[in-house]
Amino acid sequence: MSDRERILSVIGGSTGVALPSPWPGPSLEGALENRFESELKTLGAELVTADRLKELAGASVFADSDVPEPLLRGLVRTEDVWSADLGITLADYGIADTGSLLLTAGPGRNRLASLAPPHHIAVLSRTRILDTAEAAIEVLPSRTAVIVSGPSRTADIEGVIVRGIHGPRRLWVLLTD
Amino acid sequence: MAQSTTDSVRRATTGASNARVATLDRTFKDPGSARHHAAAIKDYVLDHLGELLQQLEANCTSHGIRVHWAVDSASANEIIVGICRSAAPDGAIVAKAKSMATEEIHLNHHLEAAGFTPVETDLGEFIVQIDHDTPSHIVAPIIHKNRFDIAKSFEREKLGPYTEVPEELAMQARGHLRESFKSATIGVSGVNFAVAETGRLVIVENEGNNRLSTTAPRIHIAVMGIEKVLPREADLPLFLRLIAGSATGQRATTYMHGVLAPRRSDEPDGPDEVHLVLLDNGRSAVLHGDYREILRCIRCGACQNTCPVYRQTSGHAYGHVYSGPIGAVLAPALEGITAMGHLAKSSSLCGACEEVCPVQIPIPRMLLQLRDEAFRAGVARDSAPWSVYAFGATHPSTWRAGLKMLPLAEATPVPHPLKSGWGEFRELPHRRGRHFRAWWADRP
Amino acid sequence: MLTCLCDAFFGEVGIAAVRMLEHVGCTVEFNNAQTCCGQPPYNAGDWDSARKIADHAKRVFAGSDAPIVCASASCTAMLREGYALLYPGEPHVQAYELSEFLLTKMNVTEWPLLDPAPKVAFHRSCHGRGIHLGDSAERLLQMAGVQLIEFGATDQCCGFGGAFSVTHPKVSGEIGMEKLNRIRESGATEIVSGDMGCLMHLGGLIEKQNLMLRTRHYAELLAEAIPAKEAKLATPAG
Repeated sequence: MSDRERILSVIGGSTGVALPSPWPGPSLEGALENRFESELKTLGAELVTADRLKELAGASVFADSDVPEPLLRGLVRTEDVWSADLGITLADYGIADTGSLLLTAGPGRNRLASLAPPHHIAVLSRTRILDTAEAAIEVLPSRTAVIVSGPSRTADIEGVIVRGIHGPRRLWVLLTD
Repeated sequence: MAQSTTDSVRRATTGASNARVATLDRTFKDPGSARHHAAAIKDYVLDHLGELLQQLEANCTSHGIRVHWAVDSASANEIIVGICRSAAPDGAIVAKAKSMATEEIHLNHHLEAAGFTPVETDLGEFIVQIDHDTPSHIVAPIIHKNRFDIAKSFEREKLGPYTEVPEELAMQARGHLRESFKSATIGVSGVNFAVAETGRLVIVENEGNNRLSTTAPRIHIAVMGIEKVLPREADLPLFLRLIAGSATGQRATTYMHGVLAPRRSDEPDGPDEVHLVLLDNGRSAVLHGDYREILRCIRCGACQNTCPVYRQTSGHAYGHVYSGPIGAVLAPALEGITAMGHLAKSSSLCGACEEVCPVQIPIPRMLLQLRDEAFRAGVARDSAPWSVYAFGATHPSTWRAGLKMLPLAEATPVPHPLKSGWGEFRELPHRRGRHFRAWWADRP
Repeated sequence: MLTCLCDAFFGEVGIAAVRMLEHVGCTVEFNNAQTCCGQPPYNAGDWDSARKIADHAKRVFAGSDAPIVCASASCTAMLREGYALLYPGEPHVQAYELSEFLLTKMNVTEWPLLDPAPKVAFHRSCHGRGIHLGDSAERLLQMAGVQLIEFGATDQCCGFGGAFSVTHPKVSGEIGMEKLNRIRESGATEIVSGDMGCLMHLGGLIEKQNLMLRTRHYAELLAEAIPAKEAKLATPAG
């Protein structure tokens, strides 16, 4: 008997316990964009404008292929994600309730761009800010995806929060219309 | 345990407990009903486990994830070592993300025995590994260490100039572990939730090492206990909120990685192969006994943080991968009453664990049932002569006569059931004021 | 039910409980054949011995249809929930913890005032948590004018745990000392609780360490508030 058959035979059949409907989740009041921004700040990330990117002139950048060209002016493109100072990606959706971003793998979307460089800038359309994680899960595409809530962090040493332990230590979100 | 260790554990567990309460209160209008809902979904999963696992398998397979079934830890280790051998040369680095399932099967030991080099990439687990230590908490593996311990370890391993600053220590680890991610052919992770209806493997974390371990290497091996399956994607938000809030007091973990498939031809990066190892290792048998609800556990560690015994002793005192209240049930449930039954006694039965559990596991009830089972099996019996006590308590005149002699027993060196363990730390109890029965009999 | 620890050491608590019940108009029965609820061997895992004792207790209480009241959340929890595990399928035993009974069954809303009003730290027992007593004892104390002093980590166990205090005496003692230290930091000089187990354990630590802390059951304070002449009128009925 294979391991599969052995496990399934010990588990056996069901007795007909019913499946409750999914948890409805909270409903948000107020402007989603304001909530998104304040939650983002709580997480240690922030909203930035395109002007702010000028400060980064000369930095090496690894970017998604569909990041608008004007945003990359003054930056030095690199094809080595491990050595880049900065990763710029598109975000599919924002989640106002928790200040989170939904990023999906796909053509031109490098999974490591939001992860390996010490700085990550996510470009997000204001029209794509959803209220809650429940709404985000509903639109989760049939691809590998990640929900990002703030910069990489650890509290393993005496509970002290340190940012950027493995992923980016700074997370900036640039809203577009 | 050294005082500094007790202090570290107490500070960290108290802080985590306070953050848990604050976050869950903010996240849910009624945290109790959210927990109840999660428990009901888990009960559905346990009842339909066979169907859900087959549905998960079919959906994973359709996306190109290869599914393996492991009846026990030997089988799981053989499968994982086999995948490594097929893909990587001797000595190759295996980047490991934090996973209790791989701790449970002692995977690192087996990888090393097979000639591979497992590297723990979670900061806490990395420190455990370089110190040849074991994790003492299911969420915070080095809760028992302080910054000075870690500073000495990093100096010994030549990770950089000596420092006691947490930020600098963390950056030394980042620099060191980067090379492992870049050179590893294989990454191993656990799974927090696997969605049957889509075949998505969900892994939550804060550091990013889990994403790196499962993205950069050519092969990703995910190891999950069979009870981790959820029916629907729509069930994820509730469980994501509960695990983040209960484990670390966060509203959302930094990363929720939802792996659906190996790298597709139109995707620029990601692993070429994804393997899912479904680990039984005693779980299917637990399903049919008194400890079934322990399989609702989502490994948040809230019961450890709130447990007065865990706070005093830390996790190592339990002598098992799973410690604290959850370990005191899970270890004997999975490994048998003979080997682990004594753990059921390591509790004051205060009930705090059940109160904080995000899936309402009745841990105190299970500890009592384990004590009964252990007693009948002759495991970890205490020396108290309970049958003698029961004789007295069922013969009222003997009982009353015995109580009259109590003050005498206190005053003389005759054996007293409480004298051995009790008296070393506390004074023996003595009668205060009047005796009730005499008062009652003398009432006008 | 008197409970074994009141029988052996805390007779005054049993007396106070009777006075409180009579104060609100109850007629108290006490069957001299009662002994213990069986919790000590039950907690230790010897369920055969526990069942023998529980059988005896059930026989003793079967003689009356009066509700069972204990001045102990621990014994109440044993009668209500422990017996349910010892005797699966049998109807649950109707038992009430004293403060719970006074508030929910006798609808007590006021209590004679204590003068002077004592300031105490109230330790909630874990079995009270288990049977969802909430703040019932604190509410009664506040009706009597008692001032409750807040202290840190109130939700934490005192470390007694029945058999645990004997099988793991060191850890049990350390947990208890943490509780006592929190209470001492609050400035309180008296600890009031609703379970003799906690009081016996904390009292033993206090005595061993020569700490300046007093321990009492809440029933002792509340009975003290009842005018003395009322007690003389009361007659035993059991």
